[in-house]
Amino acid sequence: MFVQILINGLVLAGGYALVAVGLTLTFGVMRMVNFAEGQSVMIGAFVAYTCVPYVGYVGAIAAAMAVNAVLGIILERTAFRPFRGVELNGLIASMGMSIVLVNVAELVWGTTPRPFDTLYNDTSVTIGTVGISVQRLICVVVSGAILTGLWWLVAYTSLGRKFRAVSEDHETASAMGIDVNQVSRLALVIGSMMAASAGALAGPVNMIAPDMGRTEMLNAFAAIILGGFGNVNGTILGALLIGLIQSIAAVYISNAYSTSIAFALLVVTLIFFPRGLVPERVDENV
Amino acid sequence: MTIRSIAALGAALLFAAPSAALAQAGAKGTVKVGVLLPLTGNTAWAGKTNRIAAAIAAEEVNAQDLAGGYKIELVFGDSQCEPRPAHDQAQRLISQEKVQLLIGEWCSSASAAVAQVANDEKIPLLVNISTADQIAGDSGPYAFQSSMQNRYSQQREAALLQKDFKFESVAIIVENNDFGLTFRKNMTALMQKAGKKIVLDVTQDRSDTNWYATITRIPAAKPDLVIVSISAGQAANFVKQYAEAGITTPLFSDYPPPPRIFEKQVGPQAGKIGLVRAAFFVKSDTNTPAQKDFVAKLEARVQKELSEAHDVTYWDVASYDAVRLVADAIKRGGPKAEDYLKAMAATKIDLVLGHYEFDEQRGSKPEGLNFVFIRTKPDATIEVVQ
Repeated sequence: MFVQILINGLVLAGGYALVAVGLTLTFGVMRMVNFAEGQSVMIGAFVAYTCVPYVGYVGAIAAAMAVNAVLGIILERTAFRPFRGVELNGLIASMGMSIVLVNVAELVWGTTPRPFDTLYNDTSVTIGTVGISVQRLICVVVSGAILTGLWWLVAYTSLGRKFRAVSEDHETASAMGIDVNQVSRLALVIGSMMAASAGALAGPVNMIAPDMGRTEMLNAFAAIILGGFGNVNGTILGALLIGLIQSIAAVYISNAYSTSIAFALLVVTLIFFPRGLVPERVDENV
Repeated sequence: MTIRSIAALGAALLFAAPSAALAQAGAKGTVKVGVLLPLTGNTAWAGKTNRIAAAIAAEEVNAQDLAGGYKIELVFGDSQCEPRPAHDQAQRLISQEKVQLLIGEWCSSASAAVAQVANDEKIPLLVNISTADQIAGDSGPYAFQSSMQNRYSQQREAALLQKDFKFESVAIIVENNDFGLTFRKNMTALMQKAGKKIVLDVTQDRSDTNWYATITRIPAAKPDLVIVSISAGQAANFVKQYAEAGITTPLFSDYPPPPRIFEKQVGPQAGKIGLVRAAFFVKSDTNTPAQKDFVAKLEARVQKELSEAHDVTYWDVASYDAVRLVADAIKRGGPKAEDYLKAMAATKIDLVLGHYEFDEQRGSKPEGLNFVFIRTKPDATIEVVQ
């Protein structure tokens, strides 16, 4: 049973991490929280669902990420750039956009939860006494690959250096010739694309509906706080811990309160590590 | 009198009779009835067709003068299956729309909130869809409950399960809400009384879509039968993940996800595991003439208004019947609250779902109401088991 618990935890952690890293990237660069990230997950799931019959599953993930890249540009222009320096207004604007996205999805796809089945749902690998669908294994592997790619981008590329520069001091970065608006837009675009991949990967595991994405958002916030706000590596570690704790607690303690247990442990951890598990200096975070 | 004048008189009488009846509906005035349904949110898919079903009933009541000279005017409120919006919409319907009677809501927690408002404002309420026990009995004299309460449906389920399945041990899996917890309490008592062993008892957070952790515990517990009570959207997630895990233990679902809508969501998976579930109503060859008539009317109307093919659900039937029940009580007692409540308490009427009567706690007596077991076949179609 432990293998199933582990894989279940990794599936959860992968989804949380993709959302959380997108959020933390945006926060690190713009110092603003994107409350529409959960709804970006939902839009990504629906776009992938719509595209699967035409371009296959891999193509559908790519299409979802492409559509969400455009969504990221729209979000940056409407809910973030006009409110730079007035964080509270930006926060409310992104909350407003999240409601708009839900309504758009209700109009386009309706309110009835829909199945998003891929070829990989029906193919299971039996480990012990319980089957695990190939779709779940894909979730783990692809999430890991995307997160590794993002880590590499932030740590070793020119764009990553720009992210870190803007994160440390956007005025100095601007004075040194970095286009802060462009870097901010790219942070939101990448965040939205991560959310799309989370939706496209997790959608086939459950049903998809316009109200999805809230749980992922809540747990992503927990992962960010646990890892250290604005810190990519810490956020991934936080997501991993939250996912695994929920999975283990659901089996060995109580499934009725697995989320509460995870959040209680979060609070206890923060008492001993107030700046998260990876307490880098804020100006080094992205 | 000439033949021509006799013919003229006959023709006049022929046309006068129905027009007299038509003129009578509304002769005593119009009764405004507030109907609370989830018209937005994640149960709006049901509320939209329930609204049409209620409207059809109101049209028939007015056309055929079924409310004793009163015309019924329905005013809808979007209560979203949530207590707070339901409470606010009930207040709006009473204070702004000046409704005299209320019908609704869909979710039990929302209905309980509406019942509170109804009793505070002394406006009679008919809870027609929510199935939690004692919504009427616990909330005061202004509420009636025409839906079959959980304790009755679970008694039937326990009896039918013992007849249909051979099992000695069970796993009971529910959502952590009033619906699931009531089911767990009732079904546990019924199974223990029947001498069955409960080898797994799990309650899951209702917002948690990941049932896999729960499902992984089933093989180790080795139950002969898995009994679940999980709401509509979550039930689809559960069935999908149950099939994915390759578990072959027979599965029975208490909560009646809408037949065919559910099959469109997870038909292949439900068929693969041979899911059996209870339903208050399903469109089938065994339907009564009244049920067949209603199905034809509603499907045509939904096609016309929403431009979609629709399979009639229990909730549609319950919405139609509720308006007819209200009209019948108005006919016998009038719309004044005190008289209307007495008339409702004395209800004895056959409608689409069956025969309605109320007990002393103003809950519907279960004996006359429709209740079936259905199984999803491997080709994702439905068969009525009992």
